[in-house]
Amino acid sequence: MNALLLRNGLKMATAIFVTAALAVHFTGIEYVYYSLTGTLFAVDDNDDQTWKAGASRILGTVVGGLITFWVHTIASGWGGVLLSLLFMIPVLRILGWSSGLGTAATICLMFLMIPSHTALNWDYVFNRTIDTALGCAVGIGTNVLFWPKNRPAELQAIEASLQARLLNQIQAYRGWMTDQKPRPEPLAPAQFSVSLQRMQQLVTMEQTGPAAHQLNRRRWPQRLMLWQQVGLHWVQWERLVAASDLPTPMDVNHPLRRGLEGMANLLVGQRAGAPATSSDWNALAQPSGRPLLLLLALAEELKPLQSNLRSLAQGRRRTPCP
Amino acid sequence: MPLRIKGPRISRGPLMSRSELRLALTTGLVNAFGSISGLADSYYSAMTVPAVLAGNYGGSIELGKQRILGSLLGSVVLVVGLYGLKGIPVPLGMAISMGCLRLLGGLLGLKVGYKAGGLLLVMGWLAHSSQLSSWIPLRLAWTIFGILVALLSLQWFWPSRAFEQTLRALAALSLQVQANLQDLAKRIDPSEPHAAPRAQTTNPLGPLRSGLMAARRIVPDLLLELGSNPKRHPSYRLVILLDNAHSRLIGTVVGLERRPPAFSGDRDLLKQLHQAEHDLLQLLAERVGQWASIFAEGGVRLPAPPQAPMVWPQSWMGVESLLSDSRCNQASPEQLERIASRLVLCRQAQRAIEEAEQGWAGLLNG
Repeated sequence: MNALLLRNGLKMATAIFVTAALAVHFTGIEYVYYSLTGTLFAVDDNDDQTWKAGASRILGTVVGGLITFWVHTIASGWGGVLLSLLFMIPVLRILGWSSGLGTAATICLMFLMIPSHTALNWDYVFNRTIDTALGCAVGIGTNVLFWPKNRPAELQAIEASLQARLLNQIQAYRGWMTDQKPRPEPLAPAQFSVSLQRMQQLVTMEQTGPAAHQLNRRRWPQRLMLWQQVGLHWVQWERLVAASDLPTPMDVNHPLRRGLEGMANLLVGQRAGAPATSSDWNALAQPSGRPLLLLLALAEELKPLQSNLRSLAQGRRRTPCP
Repeated sequence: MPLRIKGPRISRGPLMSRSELRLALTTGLVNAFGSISGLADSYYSAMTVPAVLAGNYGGSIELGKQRILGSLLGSVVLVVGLYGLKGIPVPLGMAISMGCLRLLGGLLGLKVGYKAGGLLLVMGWLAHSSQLSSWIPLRLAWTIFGILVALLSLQWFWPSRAFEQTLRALAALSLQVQANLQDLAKRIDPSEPHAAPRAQTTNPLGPLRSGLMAARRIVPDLLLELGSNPKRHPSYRLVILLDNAHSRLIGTVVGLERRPPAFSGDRDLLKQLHQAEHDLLQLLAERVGQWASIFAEGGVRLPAPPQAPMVWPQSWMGVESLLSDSRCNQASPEQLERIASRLVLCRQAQRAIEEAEQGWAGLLNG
């Protein structure tokens, strides 16, 4: 049983419990199902993660109830239901509360079709509409209460861990380039894909949550895309470094070392130095007879890597996190 | 060039959207049918209709099955809860039962169906607990009838046209991308040594970009059609995913156009490199062509990605070993640089397609 499922189960149980307890306390057991229906719709839709959407659902429900009452004075039975529904839609739409339509349609059916309550009067309609709206309100409150608060922090943590992982790996490459240490094992593609998939999930979920505007303001969707590109090119870059099997130690002007330092600088928010040109790589290949194509492929991988890291650094500067 | 779209202003649209009119008519007519039939509790079928149609998750047959399962589960939990939790206060008993319904449903893999099942549980517990044995079968039958009619109405009354239109626009775009990829593959085909390089004046970016824009122009309509929280809807997410994939593919096409192959068919190694690139581009073109025919089929349901897994050409799989072949140093550095940057672009396109299909399958499964 995963955490999300448990959370959903608890959310449903909490919302139903609070609604039923309130409804029993205030109105008695007879009409609790009105409130519970409202709760059920609000909790299950997962649409009302924002107070604005929630308010429009509640108001839509109330207006739907009132329209049903008004229609019942001129039509009853199934004709009344059809007429109420057809009338409700444009009114809710003009008012901008269309998200209440589902609940409104349900209480319209309850008002006009449940046989024992066919004798509708103003008190009954008003009270039951308020009951349903109360159910919606509890459902929406529970949705927001149970909305995970730690997702922005988790996104932040994933980005930080990706950054740390790259910096760590870069440090290991430095050791290899200068200190005669063995070349580090390449990062497994799965190490990126697991983090990136989680990031993708979080971004998708947060986009429909109460803090969606913050997500967009911090440019998380764009940052995710940039990290996906970084992951793709980093894996390839490391494979090519392994394949090129360049001798160490490398001096500070070695094209590979300059590229690496450029990435390290970008990761910590500094400027990357000028990239090595193809003639630098050619100069490296010529005396030793190394395959120039491989070195140039390395250089080509470095270009998107650095440009994506640069965009990420610029994004971080523009939207500093709290 | 990622797509960014703001949510629709619902209140500024026409007075009635088709999905709302569909909800009203279906609910009203199902209710009328039940009412005229004279059978008891018929209005429950109508109550199920908003539960199916008001949520915007979608109306596939698979989800319909889940809703029916949800109702069955709701009636089982109702019987167990009502008798098993007899002594405890109603709010607590209901809360435990509904929590269990959600948990059990989740464990059984239900994504929807809780509203239909929950309504059954609530009404059975609170309004009909004295006559459960006769009420449950009848109510269950009406609920299932309501679900079925709601599903049929989704398929028959104004199926989401904007989604279909978006898919059509994407189909046209995929075909354009395919043609460009095929063209690029042809120009590097080592078996056609006299393949004419395309005249420099033609710029593929114009038509491709306008194809992409044509698909994007429909997205606001799609958002309107998908209800109150459209960005959560799998259809919208698929469109965004495909938009992204096509953007990346267009990036590759444009990049490859800007770096035409410095063709020299006489060298064996270069021939092999070009062969690998040709084979990959050809395969990608075929795959995008398959996408196009999937999108062109249209329909209201979320389409499935091509069934056959991608099998990368042998020549492409071996391209990395070619990079370290020392014979390549015979070519000029400019020529090699061009080859290297083309290979990066090809790999980007390969990943764009792979990632898109992974995400696409993920949308269908979860």
